[in-house]
Amino acid sequence: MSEPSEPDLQLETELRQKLAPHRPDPEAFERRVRERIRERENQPRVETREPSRFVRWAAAVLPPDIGLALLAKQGGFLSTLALPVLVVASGFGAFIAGKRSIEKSARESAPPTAPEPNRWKMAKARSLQRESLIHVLLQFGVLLVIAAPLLFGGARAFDIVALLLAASMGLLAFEVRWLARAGLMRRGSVARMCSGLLCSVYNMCFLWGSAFGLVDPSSNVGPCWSAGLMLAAITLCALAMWHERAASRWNTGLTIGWCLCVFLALTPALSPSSPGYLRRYIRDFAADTRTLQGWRELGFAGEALRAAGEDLPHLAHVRTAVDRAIESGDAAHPGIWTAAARLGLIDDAHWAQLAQRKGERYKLDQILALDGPLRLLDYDEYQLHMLLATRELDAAQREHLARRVAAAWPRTPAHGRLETADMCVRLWSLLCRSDQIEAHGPEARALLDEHWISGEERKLFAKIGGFTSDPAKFRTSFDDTTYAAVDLIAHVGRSNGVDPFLLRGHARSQAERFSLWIASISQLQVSSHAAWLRLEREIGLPQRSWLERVLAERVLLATLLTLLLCVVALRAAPSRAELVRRGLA
Amino acid sequence: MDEPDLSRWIAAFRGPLIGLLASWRGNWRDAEELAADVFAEAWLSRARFDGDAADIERAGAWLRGIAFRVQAAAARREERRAAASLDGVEVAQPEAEVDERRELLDAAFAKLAAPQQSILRMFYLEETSAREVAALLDITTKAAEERLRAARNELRELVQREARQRERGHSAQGARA
Repeated sequence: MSEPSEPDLQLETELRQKLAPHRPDPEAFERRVRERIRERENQPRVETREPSRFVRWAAAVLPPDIGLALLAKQGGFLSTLALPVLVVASGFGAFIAGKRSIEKSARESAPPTAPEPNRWKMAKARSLQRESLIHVLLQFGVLLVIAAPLLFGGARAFDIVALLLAASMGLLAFEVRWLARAGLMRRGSVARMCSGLLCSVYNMCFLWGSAFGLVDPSSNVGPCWSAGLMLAAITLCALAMWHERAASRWNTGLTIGWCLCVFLALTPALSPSSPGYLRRYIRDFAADTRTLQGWRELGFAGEALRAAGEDLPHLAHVRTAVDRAIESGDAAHPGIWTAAARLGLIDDAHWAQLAQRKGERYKLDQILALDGPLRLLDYDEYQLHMLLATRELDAAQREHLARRVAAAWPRTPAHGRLETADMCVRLWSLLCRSDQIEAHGPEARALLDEHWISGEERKLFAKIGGFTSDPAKFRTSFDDTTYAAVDLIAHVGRSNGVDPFLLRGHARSQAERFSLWIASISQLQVSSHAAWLRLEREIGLPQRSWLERVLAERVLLATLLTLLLCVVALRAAPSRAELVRRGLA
Repeated sequence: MDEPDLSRWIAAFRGPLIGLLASWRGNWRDAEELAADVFAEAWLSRARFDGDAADIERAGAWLRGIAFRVQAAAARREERRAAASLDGVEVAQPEAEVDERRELLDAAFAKLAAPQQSILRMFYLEETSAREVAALLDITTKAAEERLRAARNELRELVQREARQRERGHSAQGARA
């Protein structure tokens, strides 16, 4: 932690003084604990049903998350632990077996001879046929990737990707074996074969996966690193082909150009959640109060940056636009006032000026005068900001408002309950009623569970790992609902049913879903970027042990092993320079 | 897990655990009692803790689980009894002299969001490192530090805002007088 500044030190001292009366006497406290232990040791203990000895052992030696999951669902040992381990093990197994096979192929390959035109022509034709067959086989892998969410649940789709990568290592070893037997094992041929195979694997595992919105449920770095590495490897294979004179300059250029285009267009940014995107969005925001476009997202971005403890960029241009709209009496959309209020851009004088308008004054009077549920739409949040800034509310009025908000709490099934609950929490927060927020915590967490789209969801095209606005009608996640849910979690805590890593995977995949082609409508990504940042920096993710972290990166591991096997195959094949030296080129 | 481990756990987690329970319960006295219950329960069921007692993260997760259960049981027992609010208890404490600055801090603290109040209580009740707080909250140390920083910044802003409001109030009163 960085050194606190002078005002921080003063604040810390004051906080310690404030809490001092509640500080327990360490010795007396420990004495009390030991007394209780003595008392209870003499009482008969009600034994709960213990998990089996094996499960308890496994829970103790395994990382906390896996261990607790094991204890929670004893029957689910295989699904909790075995699959990730099996996937990683199959990757390493395929690599070791592939490496041994390639080395054996290199040792036992037919001795290279000077190329005879007819023999080479026939061998190359057979090689192309075989490669085509393999590429057709790989297309079935695409179908498997697409169908994985339907067959195994969305969270398992990336396990299928990792298994397909392991299978591709087997295919690589098989192709090398065939080239060696045919006496064609040359670095150029192997580079061409690796390049073709990696292109197919990239399309199968990453391009289609990204197109169908697969969510990596556990990875820290995300699938974009694997995809980027794969494209880099294809580029290197293309360069090796050119160097070995197995491909023309044009072919090499085309391949590299394709990789570059795909990388720029379809492979998302490789950075983890960072405030940079949001800061840039705010800085470049064209503050036009005549249109609502982007204002809501501006509020999200500002809120997320503040929640993450980041400084907001210079907001003078937005403040000026808002002030001007208020001063000139323009009828801007309420969403603009709400976004400005969330960013703290409207000072008391301007609130007072806005509250002078007839319509606004009427709204404030109604808020205080009426008795029923206070149902404010999300863009009407500014009304409470304005009320608090312009009127001196006594305790009874504040209590009245808190009760009206409580009456609006969504108890009956309806569309948008989660958003309504979040709005209630926001309003209580403005009224400084943390007691109400805490009191409604269990209900809010139950709502989160109810609206959560889990990784077990077996539906094609369903976006898992986020929240739906209506669980009865839509079994897919929505960005705005997910942002509202993250805000709710920040206030009331996470419910047990929500997997924070899957939620992070969802937010990341949504944040990265658009690339250069449609960067101009960047506000579409802001709520996901904001949710991602708040989840990582404000709410925090549970700690994971090294084993969990390794298992979480199984796709990246499988990708690295596949690329390593390509390197092994390239190194095992004689280069053109070597063949020239031996007079065989 | 043996006797010295229990003492180490108490020394490491006493402050943040009481702070956490105080946030859940809304009452400092209950929080301290429950914290004692949590440590006693942890000791009595130590056979189920198969990890390394020196591992702060495991110990924190284990204590947090027990704290959840103990708190839930206490809440069930006292379902009908309205819990006294934290603010009420704080005001009831004997204070030698409550200066204006302290009043500002109290008012600003009450306006903080519940999770921010919680993390400040956990850190500042005793001298606690981020690691223990993070272990109890089941988050990374970095996330705990970030939360603390955000809460401190928010509190500082609220104190300043509160001070400005009061100043305005005083000057308005002065003008009326």
